[in-house]
Amino acid sequence: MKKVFLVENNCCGSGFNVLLAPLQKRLMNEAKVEVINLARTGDQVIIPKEIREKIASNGISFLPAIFVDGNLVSEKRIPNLMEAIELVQHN
Amino acid sequence: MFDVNKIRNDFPTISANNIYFDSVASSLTPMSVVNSMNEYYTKYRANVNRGFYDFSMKASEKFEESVASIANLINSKITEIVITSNATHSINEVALSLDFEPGDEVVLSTLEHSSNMVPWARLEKKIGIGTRWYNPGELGLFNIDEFEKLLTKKTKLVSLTYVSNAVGTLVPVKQVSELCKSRGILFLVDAAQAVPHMKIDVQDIGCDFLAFSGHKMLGPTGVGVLYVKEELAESLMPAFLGGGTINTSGCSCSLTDECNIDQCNFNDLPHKWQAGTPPIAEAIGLKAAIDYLNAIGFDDIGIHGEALMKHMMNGLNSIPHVDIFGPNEPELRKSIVSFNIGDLPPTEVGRILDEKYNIAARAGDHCAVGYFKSSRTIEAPGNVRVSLYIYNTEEEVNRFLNAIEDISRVCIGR
Repeated sequence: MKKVFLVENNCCGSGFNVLLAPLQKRLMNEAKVEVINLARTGDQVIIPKEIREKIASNGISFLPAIFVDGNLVSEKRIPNLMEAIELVQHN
Repeated sequence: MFDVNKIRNDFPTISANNIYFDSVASSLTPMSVVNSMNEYYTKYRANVNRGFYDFSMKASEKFEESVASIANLINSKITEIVITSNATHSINEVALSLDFEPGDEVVLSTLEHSSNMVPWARLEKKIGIGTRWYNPGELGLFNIDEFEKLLTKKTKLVSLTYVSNAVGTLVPVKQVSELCKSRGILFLVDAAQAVPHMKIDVQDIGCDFLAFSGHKMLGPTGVGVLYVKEELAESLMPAFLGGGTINTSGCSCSLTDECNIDQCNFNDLPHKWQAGTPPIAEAIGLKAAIDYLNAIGFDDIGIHGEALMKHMMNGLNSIPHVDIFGPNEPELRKSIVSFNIGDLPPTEVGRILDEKYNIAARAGDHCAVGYFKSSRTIEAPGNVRVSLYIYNTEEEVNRFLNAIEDISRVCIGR
């Protein structure tokens, strides 16, 4: 199963939340999809190593972004649902 | 039948790359409308019914021609036509002009656009009127016998849409009008989605008020119409008063601070209801839009819309996971189809249609929140709505259907 992280720094808008449920449903046999919202994480959150490293080297300007199995496949925008599905399936 | 490809050449924003399926929100505008407004601004720019010089006389003549054209369109008298800024303004003017008392009731339906909900909510709070709601259910089809049960001795006004902007179904306004007349109840028809697509006859309908917008029928934004039956136009005091509404030379008071409204006479109809400078260029543009539609003919407009609607619905019904709102029979709708694809967020479907397929469609609750909140079987917060008009083609519908098929296949799967 692929590991997909939808990463954003979003205090207030819907952000990736609008895609989460349909992506999880569509990709239920192919990928595990989670949202990491840096603006709304509590004190304890596990941010995968590759995402931590990207933030450490680039800051957060590349967000919102999608990682598939540790690889950055989309950055600086929230793709539409169709694009997001195809990004996961083709990476 | 008209040549739709020839028609399309008249609309500057139409191109082969983009599909515009949101005429319910606002229709496109042909160059003849734009040119008529430019001509006013560049050749005879002046106010109307206020000056005796050449430009003002010409502007007045053109404005009065527009009013006459509107009256002719809906088979009313000129004295019964008020130029407003849109249907919302028209409905608000009725709400504020009628003499409501606490306890009076207004009957509405859950199909209404918020423009025919919120003005009455305001009066509930300000005056203490009551509202009663007819729910035609998920299909949006009226049962006149069930509707009649809502009418009581307290009912002062019934205010209904003619065509639902959420599902495109038609309300039996003539039957409602007969019910209202038999009980001495006033009847307001929100015809914003009807006038662009069908011939309207206020005598045949028998309503007391009718509202519609210019921008949904090829006209410019900023102009609308309120029809007020003549005896009501005479007896009511309009909500909006100002320059042009009062015969100031006929006031019996000599000093300003001694004047009250009872000492002045209103101007003749329709001027009594036309407060301040009207949207002159826009009214002239609306006449050009009416001329354009009349040249095509409403019969042919209806045939074109029905054919596209049938093709659209047959296609959508054959795509997996597509759930059409309202009746499946195309003949029970007017040029509007709304649907969802499984449980995909409609805003995402709308976004994909735009970004990948260059198709403009509306997604959301379309300001018809009553329809979505009131149906027990509808859980969706909204849907995707497409609307068809004179410049849309079968080829566009085919491209749209292919897009929906793609979206269903990729986003939902088998």
